Amino acid sequence: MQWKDTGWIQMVFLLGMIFMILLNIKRAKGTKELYIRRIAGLNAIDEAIGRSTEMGKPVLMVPGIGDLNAISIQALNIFAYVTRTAARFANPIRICIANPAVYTVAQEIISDVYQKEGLGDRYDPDSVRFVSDRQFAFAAGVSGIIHREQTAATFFLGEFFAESLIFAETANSIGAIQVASSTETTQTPFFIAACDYVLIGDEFYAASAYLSREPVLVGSLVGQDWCKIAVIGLIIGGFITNSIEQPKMLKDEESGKMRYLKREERLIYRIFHPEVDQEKEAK
Amino acid sequence: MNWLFLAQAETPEYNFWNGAPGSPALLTKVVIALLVGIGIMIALMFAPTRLRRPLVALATFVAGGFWMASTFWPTAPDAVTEGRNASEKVAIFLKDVTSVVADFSNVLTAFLLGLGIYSIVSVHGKRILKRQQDWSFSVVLFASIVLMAIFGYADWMDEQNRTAAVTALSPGFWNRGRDLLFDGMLQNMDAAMFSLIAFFILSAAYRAFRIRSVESTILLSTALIVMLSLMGVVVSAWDGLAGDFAGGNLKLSEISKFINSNLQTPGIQAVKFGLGIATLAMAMRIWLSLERGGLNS
Amino acid sequence: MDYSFIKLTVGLIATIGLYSILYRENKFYRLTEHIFVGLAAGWSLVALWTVTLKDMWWSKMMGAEASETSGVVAGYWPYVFLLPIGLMGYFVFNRKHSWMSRIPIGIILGLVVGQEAGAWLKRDLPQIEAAMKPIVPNTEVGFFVPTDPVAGALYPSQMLGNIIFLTTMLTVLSYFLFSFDFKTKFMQKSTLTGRWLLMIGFGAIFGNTVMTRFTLLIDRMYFVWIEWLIQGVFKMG
Repeated sequence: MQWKDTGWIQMVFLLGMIFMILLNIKRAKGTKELYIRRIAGLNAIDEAIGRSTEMGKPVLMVPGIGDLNAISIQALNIFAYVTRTAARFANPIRICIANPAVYTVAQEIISDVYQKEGLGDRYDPDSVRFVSDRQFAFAAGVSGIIHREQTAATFFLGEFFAESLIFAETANSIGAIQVASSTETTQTPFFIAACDYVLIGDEFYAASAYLSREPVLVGSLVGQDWCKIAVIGLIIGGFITNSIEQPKMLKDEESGKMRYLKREERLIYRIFHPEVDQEKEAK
Repeated sequence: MNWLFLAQAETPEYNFWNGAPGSPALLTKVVIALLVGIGIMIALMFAPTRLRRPLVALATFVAGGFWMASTFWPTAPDAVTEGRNASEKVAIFLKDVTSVVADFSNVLTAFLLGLGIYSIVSVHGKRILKRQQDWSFSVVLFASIVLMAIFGYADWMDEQNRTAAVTALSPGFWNRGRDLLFDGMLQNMDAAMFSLIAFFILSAAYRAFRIRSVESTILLSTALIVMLSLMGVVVSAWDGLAGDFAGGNLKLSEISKFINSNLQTPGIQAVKFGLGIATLAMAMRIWLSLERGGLNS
Repeated sequence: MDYSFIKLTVGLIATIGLYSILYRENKFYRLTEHIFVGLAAGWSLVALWTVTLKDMWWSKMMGAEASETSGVVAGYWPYVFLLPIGLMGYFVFNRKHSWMSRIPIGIILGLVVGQEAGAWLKRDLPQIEAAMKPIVPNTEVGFFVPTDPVAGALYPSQMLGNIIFLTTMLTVLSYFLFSFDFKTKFMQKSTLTGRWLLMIGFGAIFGNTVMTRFTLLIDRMYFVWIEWLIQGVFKMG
């Protein structure tokens, strides 16, 4: 019985993180007024919808091109908020989707938003569209929609790859106001260069807590911060340990000369690679 | 002993859970199971409202539970062949389950493709029926779907009966058609769309350059240094000037290497740490059905 | 006209059609776009069976007879349950039963999010270890890294690099703390520094990507000028 690849310290750390998240979710239930710092891109959502209402043009949303996972669900959660605001102003929406499972969820979530607002008759199922599940066919299709419908506000939130810049520049060329975020860090710089507001990194995940102030989400956000502090602590502890060991020398068994420690002889390495110990024991 | 009924053993041992390919016994079992499945589906249609949310939550929990268990359950050593204890048997069972379950989400997503196609048909079908603007393009779109599907399947069925070598010598009608549509058109369209990004990257950089905020200046000047470091001519000119000054660390290639390993890597990795923790938190909320709003509203 | 030239020409027309969006949205682009989306959907329908369902589902359910490469594979009937589960998704447009579409969705989501904890261990944990860089130099070995460095030694120039590495990582992480209202000057400076250092990182990605994107453009130009024009039309090369 063993945690061969990971070792029990890592398991405990992971479980500790999950515990901190769940603990804070529980803690937050019933409490209000938990602090969340300002996230610039999110204040722009209402502004963007307001402008498209003035212009009478649709709001375009794309939840990335990834599979159905936590990322696309998070994107759709934010889009539910956008849709609610747009629905109140009778603003048309377009959600373009690249995965059939995400399409199914989007239909369910968006129609639900309209029902809850008592605006069921305003909901057009064709406003949530499956365009293509092929990356660049999807890019071509969405570019066409942006041009032809002259969308006034665009939201690109989710898992975007190379096509990110095609969307952002196309929407920019027709003067749309853009809020964007990609969980793929390789695409974030292009969104920064081309879009009005960009949610960087896990600002994307913080968005739903920020917008809804739902205790579960805010609590989870606090828990995530605890986890980040734990990671910071771990890194600080690790570099101090490694620094202390750095000047250490020992006698080389083969040559008999003094030498510095090899990577696998350091404490931190042995903690993170427990299988090394097992090999030694086996010998 | 095979610990999971669905795992594919090297030489099949037939039992309740499986059957010989093409055998009447297997077919009967499949048909009965399908009928039972459809029966459950119909029964669910009459499920009382208050049971709906718990049912969905249960399905999510069980599906995720396999993976959570296989993550946290200690693995069994590979070498031992006999005398497994209970914990090790569970570990082997979980390993079998997860290997079977791995494809399930792909298969289920594939079954949902029909909904995606329905969406395309609905949007473009209405456009044709109502003779809306651009309806003729929608006709072209339908024709493209049908052509590709026919040639794709016909060629695939053809290929079941012949080797690749035969196809290469005399391609035949279906193969030619598929080749023209897929390799000739679709693949070239992919490449064309992908290469468009080169133009967009320039226009985006130009605009960011004009904003003149501190952040865009930092971003673009770093981009410029890294970009120059990838151009052979510039690098050899610069490095010739820099020489071995300051231990050769002022060479363009060294500067760029320094930026990549001591600034880009930690900065981006820190973002990824944040994303990783947030994804983990979101995953836990979805797994335990704690999300409010959106999916569980 | 031979087949390969027809194929090249079709590819050329498609390329020009898509490129025409750079000028402005026009009928030629619209035509190409609709063909593109149509062909992609058609191909998805083909791949649905030939790539996904046949291998991942049908063959496992029905088994396979012995072939040259493998023996008899037994069929496992419980795979058939995936079909009705998948079909429940189609209730999404039915107002009364639309909740049932959440069952396949819940199962897919469960299968995906259940892997996240394990993925964190494999993906992020090694990176945490990699970030634990030593910052105490071995002073007796000189400032810069020579061509023949002492094994295991940390040179002062490397130490400076490691300090910058750690500063970047920790300040950027501090920028992503959302639930703390930083009142101290130090923390406010830290988050701002983090954001600026992050922009250097994004700039580096930008710079690295530009070149690969231009390679793609050059590839396309090669297709148009060399493959189509020179080799196809003029039969040279």
